[in-house]
Parts: sequence; C-alpha cells; structure tokens
Amino acid sequence: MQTSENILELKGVKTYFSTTKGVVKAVDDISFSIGRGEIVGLVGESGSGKSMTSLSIMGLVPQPAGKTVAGEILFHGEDLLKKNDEQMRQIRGDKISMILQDPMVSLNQILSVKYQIGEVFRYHDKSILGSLKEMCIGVLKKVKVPSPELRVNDYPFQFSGGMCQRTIIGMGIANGPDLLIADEPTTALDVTIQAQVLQLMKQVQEETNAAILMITHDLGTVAQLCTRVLVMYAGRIIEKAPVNTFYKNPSHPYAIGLIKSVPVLGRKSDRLYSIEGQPPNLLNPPTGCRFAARCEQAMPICTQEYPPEVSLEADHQVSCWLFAEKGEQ
Amino acid sequence: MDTLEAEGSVEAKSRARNRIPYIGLGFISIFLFVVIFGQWVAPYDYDYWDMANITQPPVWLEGGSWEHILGTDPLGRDVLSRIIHGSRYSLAIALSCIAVYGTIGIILGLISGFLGGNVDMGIMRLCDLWMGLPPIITAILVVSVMGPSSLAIIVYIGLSGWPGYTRIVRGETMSLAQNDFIRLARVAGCSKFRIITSHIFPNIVNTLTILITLDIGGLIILTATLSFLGLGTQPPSPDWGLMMNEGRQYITYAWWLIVFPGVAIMFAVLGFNLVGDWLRDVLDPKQKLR
Amino acid sequence: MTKEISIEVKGLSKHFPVTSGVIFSKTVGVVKAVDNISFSINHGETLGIVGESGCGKSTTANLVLGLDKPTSGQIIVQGEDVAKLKGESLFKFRRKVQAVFQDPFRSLNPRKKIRHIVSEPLMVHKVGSSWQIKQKALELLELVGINPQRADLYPHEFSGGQRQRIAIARALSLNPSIIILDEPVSALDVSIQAQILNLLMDLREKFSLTFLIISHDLAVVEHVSTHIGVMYLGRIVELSPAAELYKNPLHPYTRALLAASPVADPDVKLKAVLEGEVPSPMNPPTGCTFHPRCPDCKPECKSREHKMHEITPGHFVSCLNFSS
Repeated sequence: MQTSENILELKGVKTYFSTTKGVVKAVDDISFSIGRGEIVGLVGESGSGKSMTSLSIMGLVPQPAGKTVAGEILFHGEDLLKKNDEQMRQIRGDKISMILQDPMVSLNQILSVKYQIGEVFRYHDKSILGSLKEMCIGVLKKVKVPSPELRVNDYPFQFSGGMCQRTIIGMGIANGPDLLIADEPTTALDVTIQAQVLQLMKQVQEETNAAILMITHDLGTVAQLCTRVLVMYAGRIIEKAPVNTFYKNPSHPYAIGLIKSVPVLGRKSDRLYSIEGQPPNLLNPPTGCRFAARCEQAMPICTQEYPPEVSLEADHQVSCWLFAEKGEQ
Repeated sequence: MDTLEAEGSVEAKSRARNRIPYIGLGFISIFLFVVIFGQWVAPYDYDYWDMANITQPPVWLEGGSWEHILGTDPLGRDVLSRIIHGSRYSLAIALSCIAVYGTIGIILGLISGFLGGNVDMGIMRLCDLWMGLPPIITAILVVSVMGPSSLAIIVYIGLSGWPGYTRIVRGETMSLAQNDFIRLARVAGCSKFRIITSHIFPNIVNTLTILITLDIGGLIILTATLSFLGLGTQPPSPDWGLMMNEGRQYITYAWWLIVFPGVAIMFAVLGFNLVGDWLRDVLDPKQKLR
Repeated sequence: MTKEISIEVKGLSKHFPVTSGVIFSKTVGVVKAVDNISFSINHGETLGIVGESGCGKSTTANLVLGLDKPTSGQIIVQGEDVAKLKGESLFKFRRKVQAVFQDPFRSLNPRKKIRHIVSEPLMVHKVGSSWQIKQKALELLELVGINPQRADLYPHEFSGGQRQRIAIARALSLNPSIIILDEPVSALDVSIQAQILNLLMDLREKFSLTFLIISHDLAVVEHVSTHIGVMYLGRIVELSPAAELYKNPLHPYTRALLAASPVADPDVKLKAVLEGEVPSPMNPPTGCTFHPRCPDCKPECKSREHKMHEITPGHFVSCLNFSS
C-alpha cells in the first residue's frame, strides 16, 4: 500500500467462538496490511473484535472455544496460521511483541523486574546470560525509568502504574521486534502519565523503526500517535484511512458519528452528537451492513447485502453502500 | 478484554468442564429414592429377626438365598433392608447438622463480614478458638453429658462445624460489600438488615449450595464414624456406621456385615462429591458477578 | 435560575490512618485523602471535579453522600450539615441526594430484576402503595430509554450503556434534587458515552437537578459542568467557571492537564509537560504539593503553603504565582 514492504498482511481473517448459544463471529472477514515503520490504529468499541484481531495475529485466541477458521495472516510473507506452536513461540516476543492494557497485571508481582526483563532475552538468545543485568538496565534506561541501576532489582509492586507500563514497553521492544501490538496501552493510566507514555512510544518507534498496531477505543490517542486508522464495527473493518483524512473527512456514517460524539475541550455545545442504539449481537449478526440498524442514512440495500470495500483514494477504503456506486463508476 | 469476547471464552471453558456428572447424579438419585420410598422398597423391616436364617451369606455365595440378597446378621436381620432403612438416618442426621451449624455460621459470617471492625475481630477470634478445640475429646465430652444418641451427634457437629461457614461467608460478604450496588443501597437509605438480607445473602446462595452439597458427603462419613465409635446412634437403629461397628466382630466369617454398609457410604459420599464439584463449576459466583 | 446554594463544602478534610505491623498494629501516619477543600454549588448548576487517580475525588463524593464521616470541616446540603446527620434525619437526607457510580457492571445487584432495582429506594422510603411503586418504576425506565417490557429481566441481560441508564433511573426514583455522579461514563464506549451524557443533561433540565460530577476526563467534565474544580493530592488547586478554565487556565497543573488530554485531532499535538509521577499521598511534598513537578516552581513554593485566591470573579487558584 503506502510502503513498498508490508510487514503484516491479513487477508479475509475470520475468528469464531463456539459457545453454548451458538457461534460468535468475533472477527469476521477482515483484511488489512501494515508497512514497515507505520503506526496503525485499530479503533473500535468493546465487543467489536479488535482485541480478538490482535490475539489472532499472535496465535493466542483462547482455546478450545475460539479458532481462526479462515484467511491468511502473512508476516514477512509467511502465513502465521500455518506455523506450529513452537514456531509461533519463536516469533512471539522476538519478531512480534505485545503490550497489554493493565500494567499492574501484565507483570508478575512476585518476581523482580530484572528477572522478568531477563526472561525476554533468555527465551530467544541463550548466549547473553553473562551480561543480563546490564541488558536489563539498558532496557529500563531506554524507556526512561528513573535510576535504572537501583530500580532493576525492585519488584513490580514498588513501581507506579506508569513505570510498569514503561517497563512493559521496554520488554516489548527489547528484542528489536518488527511489529509491536499495543492493546489499549494507556487506558489504565492517568492523563499526565498517558501523555508521557504516548510520547515514549512515538520516540521508541522512531528509534527502532518497528511497526506498531495500536488497539484502542480512544480517538484522542489515535490522533496523537497513529499514521493510519482502521475502524472496526461488530467484527468487521468498515473504514481504512490515513489519520488526517480520517479526522478531517471521515466517510462511513459510523466513523462520522464516532468522531462527532467525542466531547472536545473548548468546543462546548449543548448536546453531543450520539449514535442511537446498541451494536448488534455477534451471535446472529444482521445480514447486510452491521451498522444499518443505527445508521441515519440507511437504504433498503443496506439491510440485504454487505457492502463491498470501495477505494475513495489510494489509501482510503470504506465499506458502505453510500459509496459503492461511486467507486464502481 | 472485550466483554462479549470474554463471555464467549468463559462459556466455552465452563462448557468443557461442565459435563453433567451422570454417575454422581445416579448415586444421589438412588440414595434419595431409598430415603423416600425405603419403607416400601425394603424387603423386611429393619429389626425383623429371621431366626431361621442367621448369618446367611449374600445370594451369590454358597448358602445364600434370594430371600436375603445381601445376607443376614447373627440376629437374622436382612442386611439390604437395614442399609435401605439406614439411608434415612444418614441423610436426616447430615441435614440436621448442616441446618444447625449452617444457620449459626451464615449469620455470624454475614455480620462479621458486613459490620467489620471490632465485631468482625471478635467473631473471628471466636472462630479461631472454636477450631482449636480437639474434635474427638469434645465429641466424647458432649456424649458423656448427653449420652450417646443421634441427637448428641447433631448437637456436637452442629455446635462445632460453624467456623468454616463463618469464614467463607465472611470472605464472600467482604468482597461483595466492595461492589457499588452495596454503596448505592446505602445511598438509597437501606438499613443494614436490608442490605444483608436482600443484597448480600442472595449473592452468596450459590456458594452455599456448593458448600452444602460437598458437606453432606463429609457429614455422612463423620456421623458414620461417630456411630462406629459408639458415640452416636444406638442399636437397634440401622445407622450405617453402627452396622459396621456391629459387623466388626464377625469380620472373619461374615464380611458382608461390614463391607456392604461401607460400600453404601462410599457411593453416597461419591455421589454428593461429584455433584458438588460440578455445581462449583456451574455456579461459580465469580463468573456470575461479571 | 435562582442563586440558592445547594451544596456548600467548607474546609473539608478526610484523613485515613495508615497502620503498620501485623500483630500489634499502630498508626504510623495519615493519608490526607481530602485536605481542607471548600467549594459551593448553586441550585441547578453542575460542578465538575477533575483529577488523576488518588487525588481524593472519589473520597469527596463519599463524604458528600454521607457514606463516610469527614475528619474535619462541614458539608452543608440545603442547610443541613451532612456530617452531623444520624438515624432518621440521615434517612430523610437520602431522599435529596442520590448517586450514579462508574462501573455499571458492579452497581446493579445481579440477583435482582431491574424493576426491583429501580423501585428499591421507593420501597425503602415507603413512597406510595406497591402498585404505585411498580408503575413509577416502569415510568422511570421509560424515562431513561429502557423499554418497560424488559423490566422483569436481570442486569446481565443489558449492555453497559443500558445498565447505566437503569442506574440513573434508580437514582431519580426518589425525586432527589442533587445527584453525585462518580465517573458516570468512563466505563462506557464513546458512542454510548455521548448518549448517557445527553441523557444526564436532559434530565438535569427537566427536573432542575444539581450535579456534582467527578471524572478523570477533562473533556467530559467540561462538557457537562458549569464550574470545574481541579484536584491534586487531596486539594483543589483551581476552581473556576467551566468556560473560563479552558480559556484561561492559571494553575500550572491545570495547564499541564489541558495540554496532556489527547484531542481527537491530528493537528493538535499532545504535550507531555509534566515530568515524573504523582507523589505518594502518605508522604506529600512540603509547601505546594505540586512543586516537584511544577515547571514554574519558585524557591518559596517548597516551604510555603498557600490558600485559594480569587483572581477574577468566581475563578480561584492556589498558586504563589497568582497571589499578589
């Protein structure tokens, strides 16, 4: 797409869950790609399948109920879905790493920080055991944890939430991954700490040139950090756009509504725009566009058939019948 | 993680664990069936003496007959009939014990967990003290005061078993009290009594169901043990533990007197334990609260 | 709108003792969760309190609700001091002040039908016959946009936004004049958050309610509030009309918060002005508690505590730079 080299490419990925009530289509036919050095934001509300998308990429979909049933996940051209557990383990934490939402539960409270950072190296390169402590201090230094020489022997409960998240980011980039998946990395943090962590992530990205897939519900952090945005709704991606296009000129009615419904500082209006209704149940998603029931511009065809993905510009795609004809012309 | 996705995985996980324990339910069904219909099902009364056929072996051994399928004891009493009648003693005693200590334990646990502070401290220390009493000596003490009987067992177990319930109920209550709906109940002006009875108690019923089911098994063993030691039910009642005790002296030539009541205890206990484990998975209150 | 004062808080403090030791526990210090704060809310107005986790904003909510007793200070709600209420008078006070809390999954009893959840306050206060109470519950559900036909379902059958609507219906059941909103939308999705904020503002208008809204999200607070108080380590550092605070933030912490709030606009660049983290409330810095992180820190800030000063009418700030 934008860059010549795609690090990650998803083609028609479907991840389903079998439950007692039926099959939940958590991720239903999504395709996107991430180029080297890009920061891509995957935006969606809870239950939209964004976390499941990241787990699908990592091969960590909860077993045995969940399974990626179709599609290809190409990482450097190799299909991750065809790898076995051992091969995936080699890739995870080395070439692809992940940062989770809650820093307090992402670290084991009863193991020292040094031990936990060390683990990242130990798994993937056994030759460095001698200089482990220096490498751990290096990691903490890189993510600006104050006085790393002393703090390296601390335990996570002695760290604040912000420092834990810094440490996790440090662990995530320690092996120089090509792709970093960050699942709501700043949601649990306070505003001033969030700003620090976002700045750190941006800086780290510039230094390492790793691609970042940033999963969030917060349109503010996406605007600040990402270069491109993917919007998920009810298990499907409905719009893909560069960040400027997305905020200035969103196309899908859901994306428009989402942006309008965020209260903006200093732009007080009497009422916020709000999208009425609730997202559909993924047990029995409606045929046709999944947003049709809440859409103000719904047409008869919207409830009958799922809209095709239409390119408005080279890197701006939208799945909506409002644009389908335009694209075909 | 996203709620819907989390729900999906939780459900799937519990589904994998939650195969219905048909074997356990089968044992319990048989047990309850003989408890309820025992007097019509049993071939003989429990103290009917068939003096013509004393110490008769089970039907499949030489000298056995279809009249006494599991044999008879030295007084000519039918072992099968006595086991069937005995089921009622086991269940009645177990349930009475639970009724006594469950009530004490639950009430103290709710009070302790909800009020906290010095009340909590006092109740918990009392629990510690109570649990420190040596069980067999206390049992003998109760029996020597009251004389050996089923009632003595109920009094002894009923008064000694509550600290376990108090601790569990207290813990559940304390974690429930953290929930905002309890804070909101206070904001609405609910009295403490109302908060405990109408907000906390309904939320610990699942836990209690599991506890009680698992406890019945243990209590059947405990009451049988006490009867076996001669501290509980007295002859001629057909209590399983007592039957084993009576059969003990004949073990060399009439093994069926001690084995069949033992087997009955084993299957009844197994049934309640299997069902209790299953209930724990199905009713896990931690999953429901989310 | 009348200028009648609804809630007046004077010099309110809440200190929690910190104990140490397993067997012989003794008090080793205090956490000043709320430290000498004062504010007032006029009838029909909304005060928003913003601050980061641990700044004491939820403790403030508990104190105003009468769920906790203050260490010192007064909370006067419509002429009554909340801290002094007991028994019958506290029970009557409950009818005037209700609350909505953050987590819609924890604020409804999972074992009760929503009809009973909504009508419980009415039953406790014995407002009307059981038939009237039932009707009122259905009306309330309708009012907040829940189909009354679903009144016999249990909370787990509703989504987060719907549950928050149910919680709001319950809070309204006693016709209170004041509602304390503790992070009412922070557990909700963006599109649902807008629905709930609109609902709250409609209800405020309809029933002329007074809100005290507590949140970590400055944008949310600014949207619904008439006045905003910024809290840092148990103290209010700035208090001003909502529009004024955004246009003319004075306290360095307020400015930092504004700069750090991510804006959904790629042209507005985020600035992480503040270095370091919030100090432990057990051992707060001397003088101005913000001084170790303050970009405009002066030597006096480290030693001198300062009081709130009114800079322009209604705009108070507690900072040496503005106390002439």
